[in-house]
Amino acid sequence: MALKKIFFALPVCSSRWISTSYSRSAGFQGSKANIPLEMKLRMIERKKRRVEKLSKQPLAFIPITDFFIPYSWKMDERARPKLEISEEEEDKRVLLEKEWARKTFRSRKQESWKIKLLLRHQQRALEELRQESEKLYNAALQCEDLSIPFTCRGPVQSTPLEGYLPPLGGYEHTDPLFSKDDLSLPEV
Amino acid sequence: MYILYLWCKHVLQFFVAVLLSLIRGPKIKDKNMSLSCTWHLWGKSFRVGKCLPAISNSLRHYRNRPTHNIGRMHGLEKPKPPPVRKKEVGTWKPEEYKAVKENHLDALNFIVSGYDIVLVEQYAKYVHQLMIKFKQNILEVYALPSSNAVVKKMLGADQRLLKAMTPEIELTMYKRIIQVKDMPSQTYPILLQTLMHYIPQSITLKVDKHNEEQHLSRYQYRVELAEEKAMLQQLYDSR
Repeated sequence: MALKKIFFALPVCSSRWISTSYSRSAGFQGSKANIPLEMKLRMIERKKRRVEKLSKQPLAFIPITDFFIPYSWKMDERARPKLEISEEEEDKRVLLEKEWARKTFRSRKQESWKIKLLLRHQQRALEELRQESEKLYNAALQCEDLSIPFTCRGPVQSTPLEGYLPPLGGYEHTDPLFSKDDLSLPEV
Repeated sequence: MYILYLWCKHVLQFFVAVLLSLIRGPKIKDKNMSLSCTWHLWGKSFRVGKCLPAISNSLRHYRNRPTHNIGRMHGLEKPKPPPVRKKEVGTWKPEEYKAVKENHLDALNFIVSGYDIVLVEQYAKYVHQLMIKFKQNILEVYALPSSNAVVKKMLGADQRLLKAMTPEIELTMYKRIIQVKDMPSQTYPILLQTLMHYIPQSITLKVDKHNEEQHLSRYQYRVELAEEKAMLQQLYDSR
């Protein structure tokens, strides 16, 4: 970042000059060593104001690059030739699609009906409980016992092989774009 | 006698008119006026004695009066929420994510993540549709930025460091979030069960409360701000 460096140049001869600013003359390590208190306080105030100004700026979204297609994939040479399907094949496929649609519609309807039934039974049970005792009813509706940090993984296509030794290696996880300062030096 | 005759005639007319109107039904003369309609009986508006009927037909619109379009129902627009100001983009407002009613859950994030984008999108779509079907208050449905996982192989004994190994495959992890608010605590386990039943292979579903951390993970890291803050800290330390 470019800091505003105010230095006073005293020309000794035509091509050389000595600067009298504190940060330039002190070298790399002791750059803030011999600054008087007043100047330091002023610097702190300036920094605070700058930080406030920058923090008021609105945040920018990280762009979602999920659907970015590389240009090398868009060449005409890579395009697939059109498939020619006979009428019989087409008819078969369309009829299959219709059967599939019928099946999925039926299963979806059954599923939603089951869930609605469940909810209805639940409501009825809660009403009965309320008639029994208010305390238990209130305890049943509490949000604390629910499993809120909940994770669930999908099934796996095949079981693990017996006596399989995976090759040696590792995984390197990178952070998403613009989420961290990429100009920082890498760890060695 | 004449008066009696007139009275009988009127009474008869009244009863016959009522019967006919019941058979024919009301005749709506104007499309715009659904409430006011005329009951045209024998082509004339019926008058009992000298009183007008209760429902009167007014074809006139009186556009200069403040009561113009008083009964209008079609073409109405929902009131739009005020647009988000540029300054307020990204600010964390915890009141927006808290439950309004008792025994209802705060804003929950249903995070669908996986390496296969097709399955991720399809399952996220299923979760969203389920929430709509059961009339939950959906705040937002969005995507988080994707991160890469590079699978590296160690070919020789020299390559002990992860950096020096040869990369085999680069896989991108895709994430979709469905944010739901004010879910009753009784329906939560039932919906979870259905989601667990339909989860496809290689996908993880994670349900979490919405935090400031998760909120800020959508936004870019501000390099300038961080550097200025670091410099401020240096100045404080050097005192």
